[in-house]
Amino acid sequence: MGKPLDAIRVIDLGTGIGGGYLSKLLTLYGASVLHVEPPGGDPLRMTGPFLDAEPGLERSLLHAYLRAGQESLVLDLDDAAGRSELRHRLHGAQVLTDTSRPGVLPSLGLDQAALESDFPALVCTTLSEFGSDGPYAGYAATPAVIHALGGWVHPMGEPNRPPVVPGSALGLYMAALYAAIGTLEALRVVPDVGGQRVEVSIHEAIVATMLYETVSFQVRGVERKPTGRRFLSGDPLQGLFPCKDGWCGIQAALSWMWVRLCDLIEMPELVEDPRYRTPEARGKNASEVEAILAAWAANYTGEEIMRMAQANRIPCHTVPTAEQVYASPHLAARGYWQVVEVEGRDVTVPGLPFRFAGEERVRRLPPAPKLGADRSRVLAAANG
Amino acid sequence: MAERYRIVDVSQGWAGPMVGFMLSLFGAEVIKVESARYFDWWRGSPHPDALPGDQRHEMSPTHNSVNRNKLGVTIDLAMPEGKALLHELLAVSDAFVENYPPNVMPGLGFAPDEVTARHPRLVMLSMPAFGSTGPDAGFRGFGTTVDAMAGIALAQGYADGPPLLTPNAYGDPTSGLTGAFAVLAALRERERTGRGCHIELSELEATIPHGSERLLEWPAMGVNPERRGARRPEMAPHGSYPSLPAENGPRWIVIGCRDDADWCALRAALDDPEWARDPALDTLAGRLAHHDAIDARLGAWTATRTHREAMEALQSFGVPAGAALSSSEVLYDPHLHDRGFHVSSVHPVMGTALYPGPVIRMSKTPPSAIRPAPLLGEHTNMVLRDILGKSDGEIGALRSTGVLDNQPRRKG
Repeated sequence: MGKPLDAIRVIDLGTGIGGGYLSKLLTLYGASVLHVEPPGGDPLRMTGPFLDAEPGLERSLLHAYLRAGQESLVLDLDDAAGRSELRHRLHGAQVLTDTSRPGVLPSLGLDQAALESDFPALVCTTLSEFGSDGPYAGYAATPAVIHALGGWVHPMGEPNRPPVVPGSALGLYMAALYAAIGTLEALRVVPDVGGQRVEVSIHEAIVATMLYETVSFQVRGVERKPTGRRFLSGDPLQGLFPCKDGWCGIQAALSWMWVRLCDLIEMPELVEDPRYRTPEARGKNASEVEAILAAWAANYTGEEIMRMAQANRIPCHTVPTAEQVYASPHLAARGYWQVVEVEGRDVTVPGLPFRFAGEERVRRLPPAPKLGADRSRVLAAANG
Repeated sequence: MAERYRIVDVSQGWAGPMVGFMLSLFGAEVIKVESARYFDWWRGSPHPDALPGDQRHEMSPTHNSVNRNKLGVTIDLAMPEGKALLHELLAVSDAFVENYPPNVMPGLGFAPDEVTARHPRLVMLSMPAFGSTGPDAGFRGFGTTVDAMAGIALAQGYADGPPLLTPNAYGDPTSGLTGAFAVLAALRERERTGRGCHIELSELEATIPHGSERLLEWPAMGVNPERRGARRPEMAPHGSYPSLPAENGPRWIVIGCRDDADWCALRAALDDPEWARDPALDTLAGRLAHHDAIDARLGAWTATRTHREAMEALQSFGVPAGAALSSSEVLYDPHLHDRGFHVSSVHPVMGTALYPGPVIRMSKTPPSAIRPAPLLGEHTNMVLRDILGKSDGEIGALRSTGVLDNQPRRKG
């Protein structure tokens, strides 16, 4: 298996986490990515965590991870020379990726008509917060604001307490995946229709996953409530529970899993008990069910609960810390982690999201580029 | 012309079925294979009180969302006739998607290396929760299992409270999208080599990158991420604030100041009250130090407005603010409505409902209208006749063996 995208040249105007993960997916599977950064650099460079907690343009581990193996060119696109250089680069590229706000590309002379006439086979992929039209198109946003408007925040927390926000900018990674998929499809149909625009709104990428809110609401007619440690407020069999050494997850959402769980906790009589026999009954008596499970879980460590339950095909789990995720013997045995050098030090970062059979394991990623560092090499390649 | 792909989808739940759904929006023909005993668990477990003819398995809104645009067939893969039929389908298909624990497909006679040897142009995607090798290879997982195991759950929640699961079983949609990307990449490679391949996607490994923002705190600083409620160390104020309640419950708004300019805009939006003019609040460090006091003042201001009124007032000054929309508010959101995001579909049992439309907007090759999810076994005859070229007599003979049954049965 080769690298499916190794003939693809990407000019990437994207910034931040969304632009970073989009470009990372393309890079991992073979594309060569030229990251065109504004003077001062992609703000991701100043987004932590930083090596030794010391901020610096070349010290963001998130940047080092997401931009590993790319080239960096600084262009001031407010300047005619910068714009001219960008157009020059686009002649050798198959894909242009971008995360700027609606209207920014046209202001650079790169509106759709101009792109189509000058670069008829170019795939132009745009990832934006709320899309290019509609009432929120011009809204100012943080990641949490987009998640809130996507329905992700409302169910997160305890009833009668202000909700929390996702622990990280999850929706941006998901939106980047949509954009990467659209990019591959657009490349596939270039011989038929030429290049085209591929647009993804992070907001819509988030909404598309909130099926328990949107689609379920129409059928059940019930607003999703803040659910605390449960996954769904009406189901006590899917949630996090305190255990002997911290937290564990009990996930017995299917009826046959409940039957097996009753055996596991040595209370088989619960299966036919009218208080718990049906999902509706368990929902009505959710607090009692939870108390029974919590009393059981308190006797065991998370690891013990996971192994006992998994042996019975019930998908219970631990709730690991970052240190524990990194220390997983399972992930180590699979050769999952990769290494990237940051300021002369090796840093362990997440590995490939999927693997082709027979693909050679790559342990070390090439480093992320220093800001603008590849200018001379890029120019030489263009002239050569 | 680009090929029209055909995909055989034996997966269940959210992650696996999402792969075929995504590719169907690019014109792929997706054949969802279930059986009377092993139908998609997201249709819902057989109810203890179900009577014959019970239609609950056709009423799952979530299942009916991610399985739109597919043909539905029932083939019992435990029977030899069923295995032969699946091979016949694979022989005329481009991709094959499964998401079982790694012993299941080999047990049915569809081990990945044997499948790809027998069907060399086929791309087979396996999506076991934890992968097919390693000490925990046999472990099972829902999306919620995976997001906790990736370290995401422990890093979110109130600072003084328990960890929280993501509300959307994050490992599922994430793995489904990653799988769609993987299949398209492998099919692209096939154009060059003429050969398909097997792809292994561990849901855990596909999800870990999405938590990297917090996970990397470990190699960066040797600390484990803390739960921090609705706050962020690099923005202040940042939080969720009460607004006027709606008829059916409380409502909240999320506000975040990315920098000093946002803070100045917030002051202007609040008509620059005296408390906000305190020079101690001019810097991020100062605002972080006085976050509780800011929250009390800001929360008093938001509490007298609806979440949308507060959002619109703040956004008119350029302050990042978003109403924390409830289920119905997302479904009927005016922005999504203007953009035509949700699309209606008529399901023969569940009726008419709105579903998420295509997230990927392609300027020249938009998707065709999206068909409703198939009923269990709805297209069995059609697929056997039109794709496999079976005669009515052959289909009748197969039916008599029970291999094509589509009335839900309890698992033995």
